[in-house]
Amino acid sequence: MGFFRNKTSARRDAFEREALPHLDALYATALRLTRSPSDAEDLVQDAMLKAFRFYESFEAGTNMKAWLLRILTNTFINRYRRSVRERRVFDGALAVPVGEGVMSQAAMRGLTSPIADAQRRLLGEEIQRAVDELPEDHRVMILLADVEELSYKEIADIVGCPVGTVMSRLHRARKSLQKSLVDQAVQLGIVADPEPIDADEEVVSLEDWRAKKVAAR
Amino acid sequence: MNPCELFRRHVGVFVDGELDPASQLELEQHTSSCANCREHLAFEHAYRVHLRDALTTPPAPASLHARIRLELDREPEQRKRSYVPVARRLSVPLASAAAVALVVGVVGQRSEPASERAGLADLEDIVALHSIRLPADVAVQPKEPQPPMQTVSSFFRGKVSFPVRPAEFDSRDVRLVGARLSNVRARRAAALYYETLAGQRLTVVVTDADVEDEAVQPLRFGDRSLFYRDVRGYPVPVRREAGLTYAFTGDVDRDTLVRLAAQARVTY
Repeated sequence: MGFFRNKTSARRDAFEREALPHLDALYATALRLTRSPSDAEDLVQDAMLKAFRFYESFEAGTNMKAWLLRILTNTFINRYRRSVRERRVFDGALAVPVGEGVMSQAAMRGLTSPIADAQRRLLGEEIQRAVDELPEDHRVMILLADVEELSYKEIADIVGCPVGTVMSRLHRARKSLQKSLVDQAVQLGIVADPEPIDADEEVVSLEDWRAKKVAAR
Repeated sequence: MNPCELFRRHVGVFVDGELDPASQLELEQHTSSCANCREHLAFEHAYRVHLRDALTTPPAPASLHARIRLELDREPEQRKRSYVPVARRLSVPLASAAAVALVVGVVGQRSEPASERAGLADLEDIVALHSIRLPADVAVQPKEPQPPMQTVSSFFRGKVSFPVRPAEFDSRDVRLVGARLSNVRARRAAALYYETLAGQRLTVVVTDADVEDEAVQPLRFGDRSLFYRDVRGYPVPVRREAGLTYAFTGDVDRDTLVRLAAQARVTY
């Protein structure tokens, strides 16, 4: 800090006041993205420095955390991960819907009631592993939507894709995490019944359904 | 197709509150009458609780706070050099003396001999100016001590024969970082340095010299007409506005630069 406050201190103070409170959130996201504490620290530091340099391009009144996460995510994509294109296959031919049917009623009930601490810890470890194993573009969705609770529009801006893509990636990512959650709960004996019900899934578009409802009137 | 399938497909979006209000209401009504779907809803909530529970990470370590503060302390000092004397600059014309002037067909009504015409050699000089990173005469620190545009405009006052208003890019992710007195032919020109959020550099050279038609190809972007030339692997879109020529170059791909150049605000 030093004894002499230079002319930039007002700008610096404002930046610290606005940006530093989000450091924990940035670090948590960085840790999940890089899976390494030291890489996460480097990533957060790079992102913060970049944010400071571009502080003027932050629009006052908009979401500071979302802006910082955008810089962090982009820095991660540019520096720590080069092969972005290879991973995008999940939007292509493999983008088949994940069955909603994996959820048995018993499993759902088991997971909505209180769970003993020891089991919860094991369950937590399994969820962490499942998140780490998600393809990166899906992992980003889960971190931004379910952990940081950003809006679809904010996520779309961060990732640079349409809102519809956010929705479909998020849906698939959640279904696969929920499946891991249930599988693990079965293994831990938290829930008993591994039998899936209504295993067929028809992809239903809201627009189609509404159109049919209107037509049926 | 039934409303239960519909609900289960959209339960995530429903909990996020991202459906349009009519659909949100419709699905809400459905849950009030369907015990099965209420279980799906409860599970969706439970999943999020478990997820957040599982992903609770330790707060950022104190050492990280300290590192960032240290970096921020260093930051202004690097960028603080505001003005550098320019007197010695005048004897370094960028255009090479041996440049072959390709003035062949002077097209159109432009017969006035007043302004010189910039050829390929000049565009090459512009690219060289960009690629060898000649230092800025004036580095701007945003909002310090005055708006960067103003700092740069007043720097060029009296040094070039036309008023310099730096190009403003449509994207907020491109910002002015400095400027340098340059030359196109025997005339002094203004070189403006920009930087993108991703750390790429852009250089815009403003001159009152015209561009030779042979040196560039006409190009349209939306309803904007501009000129274009590839120079030593660098894209160089050129705009003529209000008697001035703006040549853009930078470390970004052709499409991006053409778009930035076409959308940049250069007249006031």
